[in-house]
Amino acid sequence: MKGVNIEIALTHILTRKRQTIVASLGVSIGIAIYICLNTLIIGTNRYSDNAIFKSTPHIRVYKEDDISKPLSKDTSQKNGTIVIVNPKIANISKNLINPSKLLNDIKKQDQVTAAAPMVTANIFYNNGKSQLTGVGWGMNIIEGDAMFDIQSTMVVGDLRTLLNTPNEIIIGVGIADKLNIKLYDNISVISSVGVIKLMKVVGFFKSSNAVTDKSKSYMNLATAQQLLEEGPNYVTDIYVKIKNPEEAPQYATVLSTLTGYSTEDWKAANELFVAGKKIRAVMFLFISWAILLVAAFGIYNILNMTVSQKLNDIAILKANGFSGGDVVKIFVMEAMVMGLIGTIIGFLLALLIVTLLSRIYIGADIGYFPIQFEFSVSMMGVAVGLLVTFFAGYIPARKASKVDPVAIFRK
Amino acid sequence: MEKQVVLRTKGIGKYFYDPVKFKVLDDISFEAYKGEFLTLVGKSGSGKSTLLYVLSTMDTDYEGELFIDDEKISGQSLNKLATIRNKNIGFIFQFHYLLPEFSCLKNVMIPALKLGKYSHAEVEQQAYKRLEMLGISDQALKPASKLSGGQQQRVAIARALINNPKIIMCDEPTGNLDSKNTQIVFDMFQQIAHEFHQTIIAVTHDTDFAKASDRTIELADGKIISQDLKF
Repeated sequence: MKGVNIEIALTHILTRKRQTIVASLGVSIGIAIYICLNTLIIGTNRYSDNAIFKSTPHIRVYKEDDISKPLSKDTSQKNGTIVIVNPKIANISKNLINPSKLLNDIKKQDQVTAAAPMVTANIFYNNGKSQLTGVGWGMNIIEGDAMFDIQSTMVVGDLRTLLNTPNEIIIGVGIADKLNIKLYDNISVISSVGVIKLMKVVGFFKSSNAVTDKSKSYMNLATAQQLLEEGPNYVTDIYVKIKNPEEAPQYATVLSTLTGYSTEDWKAANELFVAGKKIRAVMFLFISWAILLVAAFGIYNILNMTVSQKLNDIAILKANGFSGGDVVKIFVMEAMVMGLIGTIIGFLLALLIVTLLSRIYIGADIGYFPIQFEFSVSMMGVAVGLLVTFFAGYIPARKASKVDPVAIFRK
Repeated sequence: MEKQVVLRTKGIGKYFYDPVKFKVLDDISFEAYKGEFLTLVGKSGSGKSTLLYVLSTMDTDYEGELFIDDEKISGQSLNKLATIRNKNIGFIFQFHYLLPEFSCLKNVMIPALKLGKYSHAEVEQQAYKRLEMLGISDQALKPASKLSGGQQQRVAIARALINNPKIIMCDEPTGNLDSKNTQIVFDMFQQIAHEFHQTIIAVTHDTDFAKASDRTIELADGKIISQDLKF
């Protein structure tokens, strides 16, 4: 019984090959663009997320500056004097108290994959008379590499040499250019508290950000502590890496409650970037759906026309015992065959486009176009394509099922 | 031989609402018997075609009751009605209504394939037999649109017969045919009714055609004025 519906649908399609192909190609292009755009957005997001994570931790635990209270009362006496103070940043150390215990607590969390103590020091780089301001990042370079993948940005030198001796430094290529420094040259570094150190340059790195390259340097934790005239217990930040970076905002509050210190997640630290990502996503969503809808209209149009042309056929089928449901099945099946052909071609087309794009060399630190075949996106594309064609077919099919045979026969 | 009632109506009435409310059928009650070649005649506007479509179960907007084989048809669901039509009623119209993309054979087979009682091969064999009976088996594999009008009408008759329906309903079955083909169709109807004992209910305005049938019901202004018109 079901066989005859399929037979009728297939015969309709086979006798109108050209219309079928045109409608299918519409769907193909729609699906191909849908898959390509979504693959592209995943690829670029992954690339730019990775770029962000080379300089920003998922979550940063730090001590927020305290603002002095404008009014304070001497509570030791009954009628204590009220002191009025100008609100300003309180001159309190930014040290996290008992950092090793904090670190242990954080590392125990099962969401956390890595956590590293960090001291950042504002410093001047000097070579002869030239001077540059910048920030020195003091950390265990192995932990830092695990978190920021520093090794991948290295131009010359090896990270591990930093472990051997104190007073070695890895600087951005921008600093090296400006101060005319070559590998293994010495550079004098002056901290904000006036400590001067002569340091040996053991490597250059080049990130995707020119400003970073002109200011940032990596050194040992101890070296940074010394530059700030602090002891080995002095840690200003703990950088935390978690399993799923997308959950960083929620998890940051968890860590804040756990440690009692302020936390900042990478999304809050890069609001502009996150907003840009959202805008891109919405834009691409609109474009891909618009194209899909146009393709769906193609199918809708052709089926609608078919139904109008086949009123007689529909009437006689109904007279011969086909129910409204049978008629819906016949026409939906026609739409689905067109949709299926179109979706398969679209999928292959998308595969081809993605492969071609991924072979385009862009250069700089991006290298090849940041796109690769995404299985889930493609499956989503196929599902969306079939869903859209189903509805595009269902509307005219429903119209067909409502045809009143008596009205046709009596014409 | 005892007359066996195949189709029975009880007080069927129907209104048209466009352009104004108008009663097209008024209290139609009659019976049709097994193996009877019954014709419905009347002037145009007498309601004979309207009555046929009520009997066909395709028109459900009427009052009164319709029984086929003692089963009450009125008030059944549309899907049930489709099944009843598939099994019990064959249709022949003035126009052939063949599906143009299909071969004649397929056109004949479709109602049987829908019924699903026999295998594809058996259905094909039965369809061939019907076409042979109507003398057009040599055209079986041609597309329906490539045949002459008379041949197309004969394919349509074969299609109406494929499920061995109890009743064959015809709306001006010879209206588009020349006298030669009319004679063929008429002989066919005689054979269907008297040899195969299937009931034929045909609407016609062809007096010769009606004269030669077993019984003629005449309608005027939506009422039966004669259950057995004598010419």
